[in-house]
Amino acid sequence: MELLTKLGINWQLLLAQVVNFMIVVGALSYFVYKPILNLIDARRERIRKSMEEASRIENQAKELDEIRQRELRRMDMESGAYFDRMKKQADALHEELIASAKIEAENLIQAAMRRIEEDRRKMMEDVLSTVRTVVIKMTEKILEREFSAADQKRISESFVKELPALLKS
Amino acid sequence: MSSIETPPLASETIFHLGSFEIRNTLIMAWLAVGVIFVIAWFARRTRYREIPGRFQTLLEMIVEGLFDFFSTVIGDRKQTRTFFPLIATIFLFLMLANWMGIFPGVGSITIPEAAEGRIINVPIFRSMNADVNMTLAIALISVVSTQLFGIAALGVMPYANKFFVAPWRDPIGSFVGILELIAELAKVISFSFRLFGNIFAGEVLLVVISFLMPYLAPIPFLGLELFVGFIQALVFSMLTAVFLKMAVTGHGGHESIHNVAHA
Repeated sequence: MELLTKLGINWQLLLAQVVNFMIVVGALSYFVYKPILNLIDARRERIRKSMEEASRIENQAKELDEIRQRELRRMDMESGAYFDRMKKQADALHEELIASAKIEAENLIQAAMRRIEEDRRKMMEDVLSTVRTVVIKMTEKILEREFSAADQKRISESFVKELPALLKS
Repeated sequence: MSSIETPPLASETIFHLGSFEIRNTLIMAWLAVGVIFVIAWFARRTRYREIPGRFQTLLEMIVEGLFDFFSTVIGDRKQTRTFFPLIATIFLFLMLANWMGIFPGVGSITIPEAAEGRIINVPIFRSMNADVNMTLAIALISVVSTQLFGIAALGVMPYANKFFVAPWRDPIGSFVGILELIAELAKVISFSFRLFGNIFAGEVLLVVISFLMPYLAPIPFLGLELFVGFIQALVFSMLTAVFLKMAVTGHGGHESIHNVAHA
């Protein structure tokens, strides 16, 4: 008991301190701990949900990316095949055009050759006719001076007969 | 040369309210309660927002830091949530009271009082935990709460079986039970006298140092007292957390009780 007195232990004071402590517990629990812990829990829950959502979106993005890559590969392959097909068609068309152009050119050359031949033949005929006329006139003039009418006629006819052969040679 | 006046073991009575003694440590306790109440009230008034301001951030940092710390000690967030108001308040209240004990004016603002035929200077304010009444009160709250939480978690009889085992069934268990019971009582003494001893010793130390070298020399010791105040509050609250965890855990430690959270 002497020790208790020396230490100043007093049950009223003890009770007062217990009440003080209880007031502090009550005030802190009501005003601080409960609202802050609720807020922290709510925030933690929201962060957890956000992270789940972010993870879901990330997975979705990955899936979409995979689909995109797959589509790109498929389109790449398809476009490659299409390109090859187009190239073949273009080559075939090219060959065809060249062939038809060659035929056309050949025809044109043939036609030109024919026309040239025709022109040459006509020109030869004209030349021959002109030469024939000139020769006859010249011969007539010479014969009129040197030969009789019968000789002139015979020589002219003979000359006319031999003239083509002479021109050809 | 004046003689050194070391503080007495018991707190001093400043005045009476009827038969109730108002002591200097009780005034400090009321001041500490007032400070905490004002902070708590102000915190409530600011309204807790999703995007916190500076004051709310500070409070969140303290509460979350303490919660995470005790959660690692207890090892279960749900149980920590149940025990948190008690252990966090022990920590904050004791630390604030310890720190308030080294404020200027505490122990130095005095009133003259006649005692044993001479006039002595009685400090109006004295560190709250330099009074066994306060430390004993919190120790009792801690130990009684431990028993109540244990009973709530395990039930009356299973919890009582920790202390009372029939000697004809298990003589060793019966002896261990008696030791457990003594240990529970010893907890009250160790809790209260550890805190009281540290704070009272700090008070005496500061008085002696201030008497020997009044200027500059006490400053490192004030820092030491801040540290001691923090450590003692931490030890008290952490031990309470550990004892609470042990109380709600059944024999062998395999039946960790979770329904205490719903009790």
